[in-house]
Amino acid sequence: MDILFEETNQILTIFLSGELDHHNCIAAKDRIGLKLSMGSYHKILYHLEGLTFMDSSGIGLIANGCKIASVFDAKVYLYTENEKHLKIFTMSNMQELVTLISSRKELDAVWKSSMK
Amino acid sequence: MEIINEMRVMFLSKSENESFSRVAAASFISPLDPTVSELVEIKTAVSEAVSNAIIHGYDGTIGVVTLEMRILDTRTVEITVTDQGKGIPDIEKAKEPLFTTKPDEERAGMGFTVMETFMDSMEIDSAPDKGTRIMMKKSLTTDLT
Ligand SMILES: Nc1ncnc2c1ncn2[C@@H]1O[C@H](COP(=O)(O)OP(=O)(O)O)[C@@H](O)[C@H]1O
Ligand SMILES: [Mg+2]
Repeated sequence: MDILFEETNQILTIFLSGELDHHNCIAAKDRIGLKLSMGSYHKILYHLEGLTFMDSSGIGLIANGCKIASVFDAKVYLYTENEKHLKIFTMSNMQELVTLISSRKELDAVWKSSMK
Repeated sequence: MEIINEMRVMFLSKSENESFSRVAAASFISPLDPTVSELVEIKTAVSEAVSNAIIHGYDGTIGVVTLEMRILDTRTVEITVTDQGKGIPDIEKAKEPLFTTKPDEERAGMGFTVMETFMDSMEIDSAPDKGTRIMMKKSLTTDLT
């Protein structure tokens, strides 16, 4: 699995790509945790469109990031158009922790407004 | 039910074998030409069951995980994942959404819910200190074209 960070004025985008299971979740959790604890962000976007596989380990990974981000009161967004991944997130009530974005249009709208 | 094809793989309870188990499962059912959706659901269910055997069953110790698959009556896939680990004391409790005995490791407690949602059926057979067997079934859609 690959992780890529992109940041512009206190907005952090975390691009995840490849396969996310319990095995590679462990390393990902540490890398994302470290990144989040070193900065202070207004907004965090998990960009998951590059994930080719994800099981319920993904829930814990995102929840862990939210826990760290709650220290600096960041708003957390999660973008994926993958129906199965969305199902896994909604089944676990992820929408209570993050704003789920399921289309490019929605993503653009949210991001345009946040850049102002 | 007629058995059309059958396989069994055994591997050590190392987390890097989670991806191996998914690939093995996907490749075994590929002659049935499953839809992308069916393939993803089966790979995800296998991943959940195998991860559970590794994380919870053997809990950091090394044991053997067995993945067995059968194709029954042309398009039904039966998947069995077995470990000889510590077993589940309360199966009904374990199946509840969001229930996990490892909240400190960021487990979400959604593995069994995912298996039940993505497969047609799931059965758990488990006994403390003996191990756990998960049996799942899914009938693939028949292409009518
Ligand atoms: N193979 C297994 N051996 C022992 N305990 C298990 C096994 N599979 C599941 N469990 C128990 O059932 C609980 C729920 O499993 P699951 O729904 O996959 O959630 P999670 O893996 O996130 O904890 C686990 O926390 C564990 O206590
Ligand atoms: Mg699990």
